[in-house]
Amino acid sequence: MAETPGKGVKALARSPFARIALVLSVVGPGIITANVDNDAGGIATYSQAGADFGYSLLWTLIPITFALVLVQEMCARMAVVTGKGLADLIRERFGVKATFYVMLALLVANLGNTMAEFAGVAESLAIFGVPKYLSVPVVAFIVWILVIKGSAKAVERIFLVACTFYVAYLIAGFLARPDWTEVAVGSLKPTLDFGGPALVMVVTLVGTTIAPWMQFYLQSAIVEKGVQLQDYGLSRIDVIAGCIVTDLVAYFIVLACGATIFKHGGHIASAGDAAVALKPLVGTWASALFAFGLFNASVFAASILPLSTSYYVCEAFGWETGIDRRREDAPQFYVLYEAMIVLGAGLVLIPKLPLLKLMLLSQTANGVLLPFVLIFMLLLAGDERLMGRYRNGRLLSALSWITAAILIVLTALMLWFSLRGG
Amino acid sequence: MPEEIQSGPQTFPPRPIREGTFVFLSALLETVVRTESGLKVGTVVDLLADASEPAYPKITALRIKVRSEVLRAEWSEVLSCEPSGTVVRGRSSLHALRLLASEIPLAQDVLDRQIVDTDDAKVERVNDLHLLRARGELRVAHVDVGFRGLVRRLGWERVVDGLLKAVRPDARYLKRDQFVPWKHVQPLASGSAKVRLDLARRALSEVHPSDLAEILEDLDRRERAVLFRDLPVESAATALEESEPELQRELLRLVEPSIAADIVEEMQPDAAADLLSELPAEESAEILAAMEAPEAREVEQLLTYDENSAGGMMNTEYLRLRPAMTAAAALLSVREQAKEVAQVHDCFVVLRDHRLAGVLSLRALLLAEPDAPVDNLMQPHPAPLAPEDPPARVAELAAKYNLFSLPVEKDGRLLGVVTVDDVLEKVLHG
Repeated sequence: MAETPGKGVKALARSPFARIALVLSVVGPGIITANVDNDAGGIATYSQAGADFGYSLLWTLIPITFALVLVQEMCARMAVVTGKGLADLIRERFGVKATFYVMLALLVANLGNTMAEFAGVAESLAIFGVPKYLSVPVVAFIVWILVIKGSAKAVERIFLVACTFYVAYLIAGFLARPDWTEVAVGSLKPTLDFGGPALVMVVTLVGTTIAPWMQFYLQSAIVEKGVQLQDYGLSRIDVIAGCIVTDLVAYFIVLACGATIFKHGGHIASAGDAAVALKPLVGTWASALFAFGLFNASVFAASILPLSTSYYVCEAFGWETGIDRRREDAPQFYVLYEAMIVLGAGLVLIPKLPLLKLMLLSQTANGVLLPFVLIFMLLLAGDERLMGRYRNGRLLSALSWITAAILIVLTALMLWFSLRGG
Repeated sequence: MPEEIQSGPQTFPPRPIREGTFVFLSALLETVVRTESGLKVGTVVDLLADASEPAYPKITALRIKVRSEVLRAEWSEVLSCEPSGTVVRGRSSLHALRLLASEIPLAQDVLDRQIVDTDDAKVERVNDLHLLRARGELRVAHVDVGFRGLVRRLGWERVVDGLLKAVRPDARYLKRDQFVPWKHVQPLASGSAKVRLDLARRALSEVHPSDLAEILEDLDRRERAVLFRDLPVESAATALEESEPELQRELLRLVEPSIAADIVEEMQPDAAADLLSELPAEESAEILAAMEAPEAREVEQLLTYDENSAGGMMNTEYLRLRPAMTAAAALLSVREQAKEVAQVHDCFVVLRDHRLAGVLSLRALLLAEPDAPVDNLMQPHPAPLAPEDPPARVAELAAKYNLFSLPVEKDGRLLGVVTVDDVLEKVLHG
């Protein structure tokens, strides 16, 4: 469709202050998405990857970053060109059936993710001796009330600032004095044992980094920002910067865990074990610092995940949506939102549930759902009727399909091995 | 091959199979198309409706997928079109694809998309279309926006109905289909512009402007652009007046400056001035330049009241109350508003059409019974100012009536409030 040549915010930016205001009006979704991406499941996965495989999987983060940029740039572009969320686009292009099954899978995967976030809450506060039967219900209630009262957006910034916690891993990584040649080899030389647990770990790493729900979240966030085509350049920088931040954090968590836990032959069975990675930085305070970081990441994602999930599902099916609606007007929205919180927090309270395992498992579920979401995205982003001249070009198309194919093969392999093994 | 062409009309199946009954669009899509002689030629992928008919547009043609190619069959060549299968006269009934200006492809542009229900003034997503069989024709009767429609599209209607009947035979779900009659449907997908324009003129003129503003807010950006560009100028102007500033800016940027100017001309001058003052100078100048001179002058005047006039001194942020509020509710509202307002001495009771009903001091509000209505508490206001009034006149009235703040009115609408401290400054230094 023809866009009327309007004025982008760029045209208005005269003074330095106007320029800053302009950047703020476009930038944000990418950086926020990046930090929500490193949620409880993410921290658990990266720690485990470093603890069990040392530096040997570091190299995977390079192609993962490449794929993440590819995928998220597509989301951002679709958001700006169509002004619609990913769920809407899937519904309009592929009809009810496809939408229903994607949404169902997303709902299940995100319930898993929400459980992982609450498991993160339980694990992090357990370090301070708070039992999960107290911490989880209280945090769930706080998350619920923050969102219902509409103050979640304000609190988002506090979480975002608290994300500077990840710098601790960077410093800890250096202080642990890793053998840098080993690190370089691990980062640059691709090695993978295709039959073993390393493959499951790689799929899980992919699943947690390129989480399907992030694509839905990012696209909606950019739509909500109302970014116009003229300002897409800034939006793209925001998104790419976000991707790089995500994976830098992942890289240093793996590195720090590899330099400490793996080197000492340790294994992660609880959050306390994972905290050991921070010892070189803060010594005995490592547990407390780790607990803080994990808690922040968990609550950050827990306040966004259930809300955004019910948002896409309702949008896709044409139900009224948003916390500014009254409960009577948007019953499906509220039921979904509250069910996600109650179930997510409730299931974690089941006694003797292996919480850390659960966090990891939810990321594997993400890895399995991802190929399907990717195929829909690629079909949409290549659609001329929808995207006009902003559709994927030939090179980008080829790269994306190759990426999707690799991810699908990895997932299939993992499923096959785990079925055979189990 | 040639035998399917020669078949005459005598072998037609009875064309209106079930006269006056309904069929769902989803039941017809993806069904097999055969020729009269039973040769399979393809599958139905879309039905085209003549949207220039406002009430029950008739299906004018089918889109049929033959291997990888999509072809068109005129309705006159279609012998029957039923969920069990579609029969066309022959292979030669299929022609190259084209779309008349008055036609809407239903599966492509209506099914699964957002529409505006102009009767309930709501944005809905279309789960299915309900077609009426009448005198050998198929006509669009309703769109299905309900949950049943979703379940049917998933192919679970029987299962869900059966389960529900066993558990709760009187469930509302079983009886209630949520259908919107086609005449209240405003499609928004980018079909032919002409069709949409006719529809928009017809249906949207009935929708209340504040509902229209809400609809615009609810739509996705692309549909919003389609709808706003199609609105008649008067409706666009009233909808714009009712919208939030952020949405106003976005909407005005959607149209050419000359059209934006037409729309702004139609708006109430003070609303227009407010809107233009929110826009970057460059854009508002462009719109003002494209406006008719008298209207532009009026707005410009509002934008640039002489500093030394009531209009230039007035503050447009003041405490606003509604007559129907109770004193308790009014106090809560004052507390909310006080952040934005410099002067909280007097509250102004304003009617929906921006007319000033009366004034109420904060003191009177504090002393009132919590459940007393504002309507009974307020005092009639003695002397509204005109925006052109000089500071001396403002001072004179303030002194005469012992007032801290004075309302500025134009054409019976409250424009703003001048407070005494502003006047003092002018009188002393001016």
